[in-house]
Amino acid sequence: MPEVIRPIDVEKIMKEIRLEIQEKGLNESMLSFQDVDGGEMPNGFQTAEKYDPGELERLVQQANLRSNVPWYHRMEGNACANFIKKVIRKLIRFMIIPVVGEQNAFNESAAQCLNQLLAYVKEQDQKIMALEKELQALREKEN
Amino acid sequence: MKIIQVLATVSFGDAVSNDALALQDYLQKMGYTTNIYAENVDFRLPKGLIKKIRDLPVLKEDDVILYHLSTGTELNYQVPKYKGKKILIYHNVTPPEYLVPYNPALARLCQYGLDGARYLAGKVDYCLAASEFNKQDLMRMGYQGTIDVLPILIAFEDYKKDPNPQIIRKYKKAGTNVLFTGRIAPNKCQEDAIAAFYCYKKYYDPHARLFLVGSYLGMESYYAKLLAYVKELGLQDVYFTGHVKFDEILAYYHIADLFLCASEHEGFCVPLVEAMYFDVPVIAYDSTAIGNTLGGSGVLMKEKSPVLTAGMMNRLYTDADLRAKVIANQKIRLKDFDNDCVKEKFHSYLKTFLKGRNS
Repeated sequence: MPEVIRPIDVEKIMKEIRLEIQEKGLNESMLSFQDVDGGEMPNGFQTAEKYDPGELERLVQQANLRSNVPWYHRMEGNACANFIKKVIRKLIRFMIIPVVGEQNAFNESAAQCLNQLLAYVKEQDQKIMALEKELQALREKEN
Repeated sequence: MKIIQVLATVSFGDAVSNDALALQDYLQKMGYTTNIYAENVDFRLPKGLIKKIRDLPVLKEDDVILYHLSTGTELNYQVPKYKGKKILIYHNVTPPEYLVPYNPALARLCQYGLDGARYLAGKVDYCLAASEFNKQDLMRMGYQGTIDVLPILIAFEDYKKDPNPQIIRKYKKAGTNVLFTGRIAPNKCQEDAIAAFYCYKKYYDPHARLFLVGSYLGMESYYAKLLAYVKELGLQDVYFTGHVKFDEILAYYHIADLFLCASEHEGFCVPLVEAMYFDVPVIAYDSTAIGNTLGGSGVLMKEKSPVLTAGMMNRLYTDADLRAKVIANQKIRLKDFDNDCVKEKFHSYLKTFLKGRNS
């Protein structure tokens, strides 16, 4: 026989909790989120606040994902419009391709640079961890 | 006949991407020729696994496109132009009004996504919605054909991996560990979780900790306001982890005593299922798809009162019978999300669709 969910009477429990709150005189009033001014901190403060390895990895991933900008877009639509779009694409390709190529070359080197930095940070992290372990072992030995 | 999947972005660890990857795996096992095409592909995924949308081959009339819609993208307007039968898999889009005060650009993107979803009404042959709420959403947007509910495929195998030992060592001690996982985002109302935690710490457990696990990328000003709120409340032990590695997420589930969800907009809410998997009792505010996903398990709160929620948190933590009952219910509900069960459902829907019964 399949197992069946046994419903819990949440309302009954809530009634008991309400009574308990009343009896204990627990105070419901508190600072509201709407009354908080979160504007004190400038936008992008998180970069200055502290180093977050997960965030760095994610940002590098975003840079990798968006570094290559394709110049070629598939044409969709009715045959006539498609034809005109294709003609325009053909006419301006001599201008578009080099510009996009230059931009992609820069994007790629920037993304690779970020990957290198991330790899360096990870490598250093591991080295520091290994050294800390060694130091800890030496201290224990000394004691 | 090919069955291909199209989506805006395939990224590592994201629920929609995982769903597409799991479906691809299943379609391959069923013997279909299949591929995933996306605008943006995460570089950490194996090369060739996902193809760029520009490499989409010319499709035939009998080919099938499974289109995952979860955000604003030009694809929403391109997909109807492709040949082949179209199945929309709707994961929902965050209502822009939540995002306007904190990230207007993202709000515009979501508005673009909702406009795209409305545009697609009547232009697809069949719809699959990740939850009953999503189905109702599609109907409100004017979708009139058949819409079936198919839960997201969740990679439960990954949850068996080892959790991060440092986090477990650090926080597995006296005091309630309250957890919420998910992006720091205004629709997820982390401020309400903080308010409830404030009351819980004040009246029930002064040693309690609240972990808000999730990235705040793109939501820096909302995050700043949350930090200011915690500071002005004089509240200690609230941890914003930012984006964390997978073994760290696992560790937070391992140490969690309660899962608290105050979110006001979810299309499915995978973290609820994750909490079920790790036997963490859930208290959630009844909104959007949350009630559907819990399916009678967990504790569903109809009102958002910090002190009442704190009382319920205390009850669930201290009342062993209630806790056991909630966990038992969650275990039963979890079975509905079992991969074999969801895949079987998908197979049956697909077969029916291919036979032409859905139009």
